[in-house]
Amino acid sequence: MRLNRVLIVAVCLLLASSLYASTLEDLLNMPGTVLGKGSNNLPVGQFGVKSYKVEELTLTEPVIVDGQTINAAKAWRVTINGGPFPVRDQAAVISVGGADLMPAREGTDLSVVATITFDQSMLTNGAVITLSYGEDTTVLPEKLTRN
Amino acid sequence: MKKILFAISLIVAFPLFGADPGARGPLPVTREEYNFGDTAFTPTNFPGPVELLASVHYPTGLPGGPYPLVVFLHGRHATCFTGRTGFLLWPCSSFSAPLQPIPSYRGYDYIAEVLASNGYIVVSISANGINARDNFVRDLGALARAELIQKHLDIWNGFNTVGGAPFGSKFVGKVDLTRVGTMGHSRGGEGVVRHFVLNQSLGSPYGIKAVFPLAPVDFNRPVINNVPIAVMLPYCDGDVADLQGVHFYDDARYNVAADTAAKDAIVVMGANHNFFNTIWTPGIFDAASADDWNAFVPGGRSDPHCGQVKGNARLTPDQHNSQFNGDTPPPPSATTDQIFLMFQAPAAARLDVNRLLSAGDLTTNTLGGAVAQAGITPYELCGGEAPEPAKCLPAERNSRQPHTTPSARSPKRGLSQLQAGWSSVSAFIDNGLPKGTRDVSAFRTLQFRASVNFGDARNAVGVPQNLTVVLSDRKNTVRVTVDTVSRSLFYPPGEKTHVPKLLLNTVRIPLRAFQNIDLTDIRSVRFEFDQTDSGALLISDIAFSN
Repeated sequence: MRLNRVLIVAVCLLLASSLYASTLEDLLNMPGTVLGKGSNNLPVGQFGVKSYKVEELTLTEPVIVDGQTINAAKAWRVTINGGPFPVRDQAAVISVGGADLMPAREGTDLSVVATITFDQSMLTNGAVITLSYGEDTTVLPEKLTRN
Repeated sequence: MKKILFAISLIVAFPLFGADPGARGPLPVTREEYNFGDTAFTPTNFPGPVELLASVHYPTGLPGGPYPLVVFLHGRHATCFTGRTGFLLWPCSSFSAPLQPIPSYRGYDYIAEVLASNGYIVVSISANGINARDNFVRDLGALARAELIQKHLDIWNGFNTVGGAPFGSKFVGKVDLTRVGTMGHSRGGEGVVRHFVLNQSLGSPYGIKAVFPLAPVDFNRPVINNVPIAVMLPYCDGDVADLQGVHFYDDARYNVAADTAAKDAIVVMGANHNFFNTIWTPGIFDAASADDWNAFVPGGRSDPHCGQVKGNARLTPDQHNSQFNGDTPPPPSATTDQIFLMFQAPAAARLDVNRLLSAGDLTTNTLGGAVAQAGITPYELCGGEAPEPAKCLPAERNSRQPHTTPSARSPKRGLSQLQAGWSSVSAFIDNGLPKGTRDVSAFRTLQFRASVNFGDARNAVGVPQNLTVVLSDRKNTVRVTVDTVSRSLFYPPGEKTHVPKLLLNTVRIPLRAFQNIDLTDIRSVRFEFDQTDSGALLISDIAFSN
């Protein structure tokens, strides 16, 4: 009887964890705390890149990535605006301080590209931010400045 | 965009075409669709549901049959639109304002009609739901695309056996699922390769007889063998500008012994990435479409070769054996002869003289014969496994040397190539054929792959290279100059950003060109660099071949 209860609780917890898990897409859309934000409004390069925003996301549930569960308290969202950004077969990659983040996703209206990282070590003051498709790279006119 | 007619020729290695497979066939064609909803299928571990929607072209009335099935899968593109503005989300109805789906799957109707008129059922499937979310999947959507194709084949299995909505019993007994060809464009190109692997892992429930990645990405480096594969590479691709899909060809060459399938890579000069899909072509469908070369490549517009669309670079299909090994020019529907091929025959149809895969091949070839050279500087391998340098031209962009371009999701190295240069007309490389390997009379050609090295100043800019190939038997020595039989030693055109490119196309020399030689007793294959005072080439894959 006691074992059954334990099993039921375990199953419920398992279900709850899968029901209440976030996806990377959720993280693209959830509110965040702005850690740094540029102000350039002049389009630069092939895709009219303008500026950036770095936000900290507080996670209250696990994140599912490729079927794997990531349990993290924080994540960081890096967004570049400008565009319209083409939806290409070559993936858009945002790099900060020379470190490539996971491929970025274009926003719904193609006016931003954004990605998520679970490691903030590269998000340092003065870091150079770039947007690349393969070897075609645009360097943002502003370096990262944290609040 | 019309160029793609040829793409299908490979897919369809089945001998249904007439003289020019780019020409419309005798059968009238009907087009219909099936649509099971925008959220009808969720691939494994994919972060959202996708649509099950496809366009079907088939011979009207389906007389006779069963017909081979060809599946098309488009690449990554915006998914929804209003007016001329594109959006990325799925389903489109989830947006706050009315949006329409972009029908990328309709962008190959022009070739689907031609194929259907020649006796195929052609299914072009929609993958907008994958495009909306694949950048957040580790493999960038390759498995999801493979599973989507398999799901559609399962649907067709149902149409063929018991029937079902919306077609009722129309296709029952009319579909030959043991003869399936797949064509995927861009990310769809890796998708069809990944699908072959998936279908195989499931026990090959469907007979995939040919795979055609068109301007594909190759992020994950899956390799397939024992199935004909042809990779099409648009020289002026402004999206997948590094032509990374050439790895599908290079990686498969010697991957398994006794490989039963031929392989092709087809370089279409002047072609870009997008125009193979009419829905991605400005002027035909204006929302979110672009000439990728002009729109994406910094400075690309002013390139003398790629900066302008070179008419219709449309290649043609089939006559598989002749068109796809480069022995004959493309048929009229290609509308261009600026097409170059890499070709490898099945293992049983060739004798590899020197694969040039490792340093040992510089002194002893694949047959065990001695390799000698004089006056060749450098004389070294590059691009393959360590300790070879990863790139042959270290100072050049990856997009200018596709055979060694890195992959986003794989550490694999690229094509091992012999980097060779000469400054004297007496320079040569000689491959000896040891006893027991000297009878090449069963083969039709001697072939090798080569590219003019635009990074070496010994090649005059814009001038083709040339050399003499010499066969020797016990008594005689016979020479053939390459330019009498091949155009492959052209100087790679272009000067902006991603061009020129090193692409090792195949030089095929008919053995009948070597008059008065005993093909049952060939002692050596010698390259004499006596046609120009100096020069430099990248070389691989020396073989006798059919």
